Formats: sequence, C-alpha cells, structure tokens
Amino acid sequence: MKKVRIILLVVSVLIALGNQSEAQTVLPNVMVESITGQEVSAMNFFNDGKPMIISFWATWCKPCILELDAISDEYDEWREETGVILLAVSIDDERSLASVKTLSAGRDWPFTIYLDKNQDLKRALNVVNVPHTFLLNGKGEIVWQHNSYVPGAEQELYEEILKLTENK
Amino acid sequence: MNKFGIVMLYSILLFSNQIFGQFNALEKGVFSGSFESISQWYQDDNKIIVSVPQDKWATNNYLSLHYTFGKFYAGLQYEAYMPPLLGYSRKFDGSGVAHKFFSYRGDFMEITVGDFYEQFGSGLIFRAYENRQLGIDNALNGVNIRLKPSDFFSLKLVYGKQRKYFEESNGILRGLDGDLDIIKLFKIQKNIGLQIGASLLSHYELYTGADPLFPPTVNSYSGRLDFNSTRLTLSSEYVFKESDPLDLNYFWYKTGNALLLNAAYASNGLAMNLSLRRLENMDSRSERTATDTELMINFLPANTKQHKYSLANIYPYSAQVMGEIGGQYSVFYKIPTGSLLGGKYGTKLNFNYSVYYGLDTTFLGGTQGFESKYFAYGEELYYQDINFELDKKWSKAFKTVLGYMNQRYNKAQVDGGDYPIVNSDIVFFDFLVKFPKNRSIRTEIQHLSTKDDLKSWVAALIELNINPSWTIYAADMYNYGNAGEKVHYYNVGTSFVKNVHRIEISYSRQRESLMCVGGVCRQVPAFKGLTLNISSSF
Repeated sequence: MKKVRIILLVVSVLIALGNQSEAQTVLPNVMVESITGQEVSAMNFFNDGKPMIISFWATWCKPCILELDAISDEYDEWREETGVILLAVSIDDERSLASVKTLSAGRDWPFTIYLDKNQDLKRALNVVNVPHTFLLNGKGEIVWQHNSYVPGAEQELYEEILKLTENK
Repeated sequence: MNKFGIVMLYSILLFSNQIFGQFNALEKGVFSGSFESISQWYQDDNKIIVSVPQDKWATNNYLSLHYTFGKFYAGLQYEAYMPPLLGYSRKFDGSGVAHKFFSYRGDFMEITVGDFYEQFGSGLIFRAYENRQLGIDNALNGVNIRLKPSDFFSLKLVYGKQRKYFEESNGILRGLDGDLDIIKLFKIQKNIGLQIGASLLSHYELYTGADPLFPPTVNSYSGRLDFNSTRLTLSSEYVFKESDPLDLNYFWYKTGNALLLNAAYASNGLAMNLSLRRLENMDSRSERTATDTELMINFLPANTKQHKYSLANIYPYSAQVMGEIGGQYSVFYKIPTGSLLGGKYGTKLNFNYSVYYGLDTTFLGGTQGFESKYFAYGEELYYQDINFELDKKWSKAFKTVLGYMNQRYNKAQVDGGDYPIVNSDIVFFDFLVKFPKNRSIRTEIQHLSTKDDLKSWVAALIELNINPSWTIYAADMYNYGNAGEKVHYYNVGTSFVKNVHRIEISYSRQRESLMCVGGVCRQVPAFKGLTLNISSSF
C-alpha cells in the first residue's frame, strides 16, 4: 500500500509539473542580510532594468567556489557587454558564517554578498542544494535557473544573459 | 496521516494548475515547489561486516509545495520514509505531511502560523532548522511573529512545539528576541553598523517526579553586540542558561553558559578572522530524555574549519557541549595578478589554525556536576588542526589546489571509548583540466599518514565532466596502513543535470563514520550498495 502511495505521489507531482505553465517568476518578499548586517528584502534586488544573476553558495561547497571563481575571472567582460550583476547569496550557518566575508574578500570576488543564514530565501525559491543559480531579466523575473556546476558551465549562463540583452 | 488528507494532497497536486491557475489569472499568484528522493539498495559485505536489513530497499522522500499570493504565503512538506535509509532513526518510518504553514508578509509585520524555522542571534540560545542529510528537523509548530516597527528596531516572537519525527515534542518553547540599530537610532551618517540585541528563551516540560527543587521551566538569556565597517567586523554573544537537568547532562542541576567572540578584517585580496568560543553545559533539549540529535533547542556547531576533502574528514571535530574552550584563526590572501608569484590569474592562499581544549574543571559530585575557571583551559586537548591551501590557476584550462594539514584528534573525547590522540598529516592535490566543448577532468589525490588508530590512508578521485549535463566519477579510499583488514571504500557513479532537475546513481562501499554537516555530526553505519538520488524544483 505504501509503495502504491509513493507511486501515486510521484505521478501526481509529474502531472502537476506538466500542468505548471507559469514558473516562479519574481523574487519573494523575504529578508536576507547584507554583509554589514542590514536587512534587505529580496523583492528589492535591483539592477536598473538590466539582467541579474542570483547565485546560492556556501563556503564549504567546492563547486560553488569553482563557479564563483570562474565568473569572477570573466565578470568585467560580462558587465561591460551586458550590464549584468551577480548577487551571491550565502546559505552558510554560524559554523562558517564568519568566513563568508573573509573568503569572498580574500578571493577578491567583485560580487555583492548576502547572507541567508536562516535559509528563508533558499526555501522560498525551492533551492534543494547548492550551487543553484537564477537568472533574472531586466523586469526582475526569473527566466532561467540551474542546479550544480561543472567547469565551463558559466558559458551556458553567459549565453542565456546574451539572449536577454540581444533581444532588446 | 489520514486517508482524507492523502486524497486532498493528491487532488491539490493534480488540479494545482486549475486551482491556482484561477488565482494566477486574477492576481498573479505563484505555485512552486521542490522534490528530493534518495533511495538505497543494500548488499551483504563481509569485508566491512555489515548484515543488511531484511528489507534491502530504503527510501527517503521530501516534497515541498509553496504558494505565494500577494502578501500571503502558504506551504506544506510531505515526507515519506519507506523505510528510512540506514543511519536515520527508525522512528521516521512512515509518511505524512510533516509541515504546513501559512504566512502573511507585510512591511512592518510578518506572521507565520504552523511550522516554521527561526534563529536568535548566532543560534547559541535558539535555532530551529532543517538538515536532511543529518535527519535533523526541529521546526517549531506554533506562531512566529517578526515585527519591524521602525528602521532601527526589530522584534521576533516564537511560540510552539518542536517537531519530533512525525509527532511533536512534549516540551513547549517560547521566546522573544530584539535588535536595536544604534547607528540608525541616532541617525549617524557613517558607513558603519552597530547593533545590540537580546533574547529570552523559555522551555517547559511537565515534571512528575518527587523533587520539589526540580525546574520544569528553564529560561535562557542572551545579549549580543555587533560592529561593522567596510573592513572590520566585531561581534560577540553571551548566553546564560538556568539549571536544566537532562539525560544528556547526567541530570545535573548545573547552569550553563556560552561566550562567542568574532573579529574579522576584510579588504580586497586580504582577509582574516579570529573566532573564540567557550561552552559550558550548553546542551538544551525540549524533552529531558532526548538522545542523539533529537529536539535540540540551540545550535552548537564545531567552531573549526569545515574541510572539503575526504581524508580530512575521517577525524571530524564536533563541539563538546559539556565544556570546551578554544578558537580558530583564518587568513585568505590573493597574490595579485600580474606579480611574479601571482601570475596571470592570481594565486589564492588560505591558512587556518583551530584548537580546542577541555575546561579547567573541579568536580563537585552530587547534582552540581563541576565548576570551572572561566578564562582558563584544561589539560586535555580535544582537537587541533593546522592547515594550508594554495589555489592556483595556471591558464584558462588548468587549475590546481595543493594542501597540507596536521590534525590532532582526541578520539576518546569526541567518539567515546579508550583511544590515544590521533596525530595525522594529510596532503592533498587537486587538479582540473578543461577541454573545449565544456569537457573537463578533475582529479584528487590524498594521503593521510598516522601511526595511530587505523593507521595510514590513501585516496583518489577522478571526475569526468562530459558536458554541462553529464558527469561520471570514481573514487577510492584505501586503509593501506591498517594492521587488520585493509579495505577499499569505493564510490562510482554518474549524474545527469538538466536545469534544476538532477539524477545521480552510484554504487559504493561506505565506512562507518561520523558524518558532519555544518558542524553537527551523526554516526552513519557502514553499507554497500546502490544509491539513487533525484532532485528537482519547479
């Protein structure tokens, strides 16, 4: 009986997925902390009509650091070409929270860092594990998202950003 | 969960588009969720002496559904353990709606009714959180109110009972937490932050024993002070906990306390931080008979570096909540690009030193436990870790990480039993080669050398990324120095990712170990078999 229930559930989820024409489109009114301890609502993330990347990461997550390092190396070019910015939202808890600021500064990352230490935003955006990257268009709508990172995958992200800017 | 509930859940899922679609058309409500499933199939293995359970299949499944409609937000989480994976408590066996909540998020007030997660300060006094890998979910079922009456003052209020598997704790929690922003209060026009905060947490569990002095209600108090400027961060928190007799603290009537001090300096390319912490009798549970990781009220992670390499995690430290004193110091430095050592892409260095000792204690006997000197460390070393990592990108296609670590691990203290201190030296080398068309190979080689405990180990990993979607990996850890049985612990697998949908299948032999995530640890048993992992969000 239990196995039947599981199968039923999975089938229902798949159907629900299939039915779901409209995905999560805008950022919710959920608070995160800036690196200087100020509360900011994700709803107010803003890049003046240009695309925005939101990348969920943690100091203990190796692929996350590889991804942010890789984007960091190309960031100047990306910004110049498309005006995109990246907001790096750390899901670190107290164990490693202190090193969020030091690790990101020590690696010289040019991104704005936010702290989601109670993981409210992670849950609201249905992030299961990190790295998880969202791309938002100039209207602040989520147009693309990706879970996990392999070297070189940042090119795929960049192509998605170019699609947004070239369509204009 | 009753049949009606199940029918309702399926109906909601099946007709989600129809139901929510109506709202979508009117007000732009959004329906979303995530799904995660981990299944294992177990095999007998006489090398690691595991006897498989009678049912060779086990599966953990989590489905979260969220619905946002203007300022309203609602959700539920369905979980099914059929039966739970090895290493998870059998008390999870079964399925049902583990969480359901409804929130209103206004500008000045946020109210959640139902199951919620919350944290006060650094969590030393209170933290409700979920960690699926460890089987921890101490969400509170009750009411959570967050108020922000002005830009310089905010307040949090919690009232509820903790989740206990598919039931609720017998104990009740209530708490209040306030934050005051001094800089905004006095309208100081400077790019600095200064906040003071205080929390009160009280928990109660019915006491039916005969001792008139027994405290059925336990209160904890905490105060904190944080300073931030562009480069400098200073933070501190102190917690005092009233007498809180528990199974886990031998029913001592002793009070508890914790002190945490952090200082960090960060500029572009150079950053360091120092963190000091002292804990004394800080275990706090909402039921007196709780064991393992059940019903934890506060969050007491190990304040040491969290390592990413497998051999560095054979001897992981976990906080000794009865009493420990120590700290860690880290430096991150990027040798500038273009310099001799920095090269074209810069070279990144990280140094970390962590050390923890027992407290300097005098045993009192009876129900008082012990007393201790405050700013003194005891004779017993619990953990020490000196590590160094060098991260170098040689070209667009080639990157290496080289690391060394010396670790001293007090196995008797952390794991229990009678063992000497394990003193080990670990080296690791990690390199990544990128090829055109998003192909890459990543390799790790590690060695742990020690004369103690299970002696020396060697480990290797190779990971082939065929394209952004497909990855194949193979890893092995071999305990070649062991005097007894030498065992290969291998793990081969493949994963496929398409946007937010991920499937991974692996075949592995896993050692019995202490698995730590975020510094909280759980004993995981040895097993051999197949693992299937599926995750998705929508």
